[in-house]
Amino acid sequence: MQQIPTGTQLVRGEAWAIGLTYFTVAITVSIVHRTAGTDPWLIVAAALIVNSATATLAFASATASGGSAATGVLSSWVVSTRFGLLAATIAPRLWSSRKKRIFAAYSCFDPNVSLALREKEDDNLQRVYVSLSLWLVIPWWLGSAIGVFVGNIISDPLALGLDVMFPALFVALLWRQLDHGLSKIVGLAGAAIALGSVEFVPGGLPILLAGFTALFGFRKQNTPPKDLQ
Amino acid sequence: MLTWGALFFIAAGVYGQRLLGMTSTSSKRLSGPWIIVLSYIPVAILCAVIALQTFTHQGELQIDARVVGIIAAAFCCWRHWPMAAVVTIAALTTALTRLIL
Repeated sequence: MQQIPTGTQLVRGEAWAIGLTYFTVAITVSIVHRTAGTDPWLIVAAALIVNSATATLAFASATASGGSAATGVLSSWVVSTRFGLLAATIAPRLWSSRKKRIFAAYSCFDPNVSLALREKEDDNLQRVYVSLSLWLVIPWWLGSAIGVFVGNIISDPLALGLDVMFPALFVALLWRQLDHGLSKIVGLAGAAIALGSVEFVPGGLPILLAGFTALFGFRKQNTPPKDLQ
Repeated sequence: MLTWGALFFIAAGVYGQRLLGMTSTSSKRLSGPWIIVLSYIPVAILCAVIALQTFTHQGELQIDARVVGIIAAAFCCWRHWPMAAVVTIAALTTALTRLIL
């Protein structure tokens, strides 16, 4: 399979940036778990099986602040609700085969869904989704494994600004899509709802609530985000 | 601290939600307006994630060096710089701001 599918909007620079970001963030997440005293093999297994930083970090955060393991698991499920929504978003344009969708569900992240949805043709969308899933998952696994071993060297990832890489990547992913009237409204309203509710509802729910702003799409004479036109 | 038991419950919940989303919708069952609504969900979710990861810390609103990093990222996007440059400059700007503050 080609690294970058030809005839699609995906460019090599985007794939490399995503790979680099997930590699670096994986190292950071491993360091956080190592600092909390988690077994190194468990950290690597979490990267392979759970395939989500926010879920394991939510568990670590909930239990570190005195919550039970059940509370931690619940927190991890709540913060992961966005993956279900993203999967539902892209599913209508993926393969009709249930087996293929079962595999595709494993690698449902924000960047590969967002960039795949730019494609006009379903075939191109599917190729971009598969390609970007590899660009995400492989650096994620590698970074997680490396992070376990370099944890002692990079003791403070925040001092290197690594915590900003995720939101900065998402800004870059969204930039072109926000160049559209309704996209700006949906995006700003989503951010405002998330920030307005974060101190009052459990972690993860602010993102879920923000997802409701997509209902603005029902407005008359609406159009999809710019890159989807 | 993460345990093997917790790990399997977390994995089941996370994958279960992804699977549910992936298998519960199909283009045959959705009408035009719903497909457009679904296309806006990534925009809403990504904006919410950006806002929360920039302006909150452990569930509370907080303004710190991350804001400077994200402003730098937005500037790079506005100048149409490559995505790798956006991410790297955002991290460096945040690190520098933390060093100064």
